[in-house]
Amino acid sequence: MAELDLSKYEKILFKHVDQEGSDTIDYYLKHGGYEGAKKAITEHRPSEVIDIVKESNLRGRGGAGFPCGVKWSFVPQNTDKPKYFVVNADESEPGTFKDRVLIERDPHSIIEGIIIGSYAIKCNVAYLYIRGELVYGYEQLVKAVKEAYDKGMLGKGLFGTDYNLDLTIHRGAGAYICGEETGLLSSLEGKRGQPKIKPPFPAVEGLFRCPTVVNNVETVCNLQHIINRGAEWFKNIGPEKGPGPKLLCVSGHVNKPGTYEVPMGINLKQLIYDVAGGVWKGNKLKAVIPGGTSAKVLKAEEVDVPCDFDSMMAIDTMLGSGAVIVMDDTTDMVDALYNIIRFYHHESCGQCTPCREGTGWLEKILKRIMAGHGRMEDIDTMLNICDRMVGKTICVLADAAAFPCSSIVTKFRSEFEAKIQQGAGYDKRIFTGGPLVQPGAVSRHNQERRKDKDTPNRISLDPELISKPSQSKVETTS
Amino acid sequence: MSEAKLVKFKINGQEIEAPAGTMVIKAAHEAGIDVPHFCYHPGLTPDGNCRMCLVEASNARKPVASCVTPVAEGLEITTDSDTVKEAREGVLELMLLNHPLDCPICDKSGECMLQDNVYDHGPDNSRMTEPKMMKPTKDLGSTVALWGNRCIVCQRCTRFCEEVSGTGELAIIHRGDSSVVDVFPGYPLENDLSLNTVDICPVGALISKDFLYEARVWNMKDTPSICTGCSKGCNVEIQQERNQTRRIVPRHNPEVNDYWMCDEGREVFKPAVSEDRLLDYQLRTADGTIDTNPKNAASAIFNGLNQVSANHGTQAIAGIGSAFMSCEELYVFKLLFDGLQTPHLGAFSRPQREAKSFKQFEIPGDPNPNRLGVERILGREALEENLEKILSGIQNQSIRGALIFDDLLDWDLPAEWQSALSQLEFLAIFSLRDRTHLPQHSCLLPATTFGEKDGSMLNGEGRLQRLRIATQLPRTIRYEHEILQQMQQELGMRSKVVPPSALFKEMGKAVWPQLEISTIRELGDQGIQVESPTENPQRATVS
Repeated sequence: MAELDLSKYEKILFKHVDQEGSDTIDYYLKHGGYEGAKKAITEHRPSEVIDIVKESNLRGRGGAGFPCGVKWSFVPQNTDKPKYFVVNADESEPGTFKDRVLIERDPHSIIEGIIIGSYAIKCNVAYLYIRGELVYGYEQLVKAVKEAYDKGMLGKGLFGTDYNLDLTIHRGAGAYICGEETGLLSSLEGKRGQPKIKPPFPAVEGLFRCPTVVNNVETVCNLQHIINRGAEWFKNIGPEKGPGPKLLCVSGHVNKPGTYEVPMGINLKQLIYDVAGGVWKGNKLKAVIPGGTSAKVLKAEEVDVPCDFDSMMAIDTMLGSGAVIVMDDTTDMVDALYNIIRFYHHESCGQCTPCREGTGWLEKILKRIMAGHGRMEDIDTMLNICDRMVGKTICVLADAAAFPCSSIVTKFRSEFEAKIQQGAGYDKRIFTGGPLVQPGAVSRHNQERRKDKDTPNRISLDPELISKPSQSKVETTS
Repeated sequence: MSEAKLVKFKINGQEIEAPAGTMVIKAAHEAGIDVPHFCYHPGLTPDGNCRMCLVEASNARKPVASCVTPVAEGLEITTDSDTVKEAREGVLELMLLNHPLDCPICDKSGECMLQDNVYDHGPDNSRMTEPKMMKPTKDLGSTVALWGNRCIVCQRCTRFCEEVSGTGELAIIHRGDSSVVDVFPGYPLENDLSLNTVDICPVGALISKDFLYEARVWNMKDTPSICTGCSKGCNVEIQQERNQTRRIVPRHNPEVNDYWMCDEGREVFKPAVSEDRLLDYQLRTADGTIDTNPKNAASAIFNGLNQVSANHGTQAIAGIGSAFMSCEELYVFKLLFDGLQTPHLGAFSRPQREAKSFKQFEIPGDPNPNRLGVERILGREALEENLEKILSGIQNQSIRGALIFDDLLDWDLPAEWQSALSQLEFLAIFSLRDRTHLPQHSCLLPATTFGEKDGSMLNGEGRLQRLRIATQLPRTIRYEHEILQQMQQELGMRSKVVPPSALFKEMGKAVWPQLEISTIRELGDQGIQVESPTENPQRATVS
């Protein structure tokens, strides 16, 4: 496959994130900030904004890749209920860290996107649901929203029109499932974060049973550029059916892990070997998870594939959130799968039976295999459990757990068989089944403290102090 | 509400019509097609979490949960394909993973939906060899206990507490396979509808502490009847084992109680099985000895009252019934005292209490199951005006003899009545409890109570409902209506003693001229509205 010449590619989303002070409104305004929102509100009617975004073929960056404009057009026009625009910043798919960069380094681009999206669906209240663990990001957003209110970018009468918009930032409490559209809405309503049954889809009946649009952070950051430069320009970036810039988070065994902005449709091989500097330590590539751990795994020979929604779908995996996890040939795939399933077991909300029980069972089987007590029939049992989980639950968390499991077990079956045959002789040192912090593991902070033995914080055990209580005890008993 | 449009669709090729918006599972059940389920309950909003009711629909790629899929024109549903069977088996295997399978010691065993569904659709063994999850066993409140291990997290109970009782004590805590029902610290499950959560629990996770280890459900026989705990007249199923009532559970009646009943109502059978229940007749004869032969009861009362009547005139005797008697008993009672030519006819009733209102359920303030029946048969004044007259009559010695009914469950006669009754020359009491501490009685007669009577009662909303016999009377006791009829025989008013069904035939048209039915059988299981519930005495509160 032809390699893209990335040197000619002009960064769009990440143009400013490396710059000093890119998170302030002054910097943002100096570099053409809020022009897109101003243009949308003053020059276009809401329906025109929806048409432009529809025309641009912008697809949701949250994972499913649903066309953004189409989603907006599902919002009923003639309703007396309030409408809501919700931005999903609950970025919790393992391996994903793209929204975090935008939130921390360019929060105003998110606010501008929210203004455009809210205006398009004619809503006056927007929410930004941010993952609870992103404390710095939350602080950055609060600061940015305050600045935006001060400059009149939010609040009453935006850009001299009679359009009002309020933005509230809401912090999650640390649940993967609250990144799911309806789970997020349940959580935002103050309920237990459990996905709701679709239909009704949120666009018809969502937050507080009112029409709601939920978009990903990266999706809304594209909006201003589409408004500013037009849908045609946007469509020229990457494949026509899902164009635009894409943030891909490369992690794992590569030389330069990180978040990269690339045009949609970049070859996965080019991304790994070119952009991310290739597999580390000169090792060979073994497997790649292309779109967060929920996606099906790709073997080394399958990575010559363009990174866009349709091409990934064609080879039965997905681009998902764009989290590319690279594994070299030293990786133990059983251990990797165990790590993934452990996550899904921990994060299953417990609503639907197949997911609640299935994830736990998979973890128990894998734990047993890891401990050297596997049985050959376990492999088929796991595949059968995956089969019984996929497509039988309210949300797709069961699928998200079953897809990596079934794909890793099928594609690396020999490794599982080898591990089971090896039995209890298996080297347990790289067994991740213990506590998340390995006993004996010492943080850098503690390492330094240990070096410096005179640190006053250290509790010194004076032999005299230890012996004294026992002596007194003897005295009282005698 | 306007009639919803009917839509035509197919289940397994069978053409079915149902109003638009009906969920597939409901339409299927109404058409007699079995769709196994756990979390779906017709009285609660569907939740779609158990995934047991998965079916194939022509408008979806994946199997859909039939409890949350509305019917649509031309929809084709398949409930018996291999995919569906595989999905059901899968769900059941997963459901049993962490279920302790302690059926031999579980109270729910025998009426457990998990048991039934596993027998019908489930796998025959489990492939899991790992240890199961352990969840707590604890008290949720004074009435309900939790066996966490058995919970399948269907959320029926939490939805009940949110939607029907509106009290919201229950919630699911933890995540994934650790999730289990629990209460918030310091807020136990204490509401008057709490035991309904036990009824709707599809497994034995929530257990009634009162019924715990009392009986195995397959040994019990069910009798449809009504609760006599208050004027609501909730439709119930009386469950008895070896002629002893063990439990009362609600029976569906959309007009009265829907699927629910209150906790207090489940206790109404307690006086019948209580240890201090009066079981022997004590008829004081002229020579001061006590006769216990029930056959002599009618003549003893009749002679006693006749004696008073002969000495002091017919005006000197009084009859006091109660609002806990069935309509048939009240009817014979009324006829008898009309025959004895006395105007002093009253009825005891328990005092009004505060009505309790829940989101979808009302507990009325009137604790008398047949107050309206008394008003119709004995007259409206019997309950208060006449009682006062009788009380003052006894106090000023103008009334010298009385027959009273004291079958108002655990209610005790007020003090002024107790002292007044001691002034009587002749007193016959039908009582549930041993009243030998009242030395003045001439005849003490055991009364019958809930679950032992046949007959009808008129609830607070004017609905005539059927009482049925669930347990046979203790061998020493006769029915009150029989004794009253025997007294009628002595008066020459009746040729033979007839059962309540015959009394209903006599009474029906005489009391309610517009009544369309003639036999008690026609009341059916759901009762008949004989009066429009215009003024609603149920909701009247007495402070």
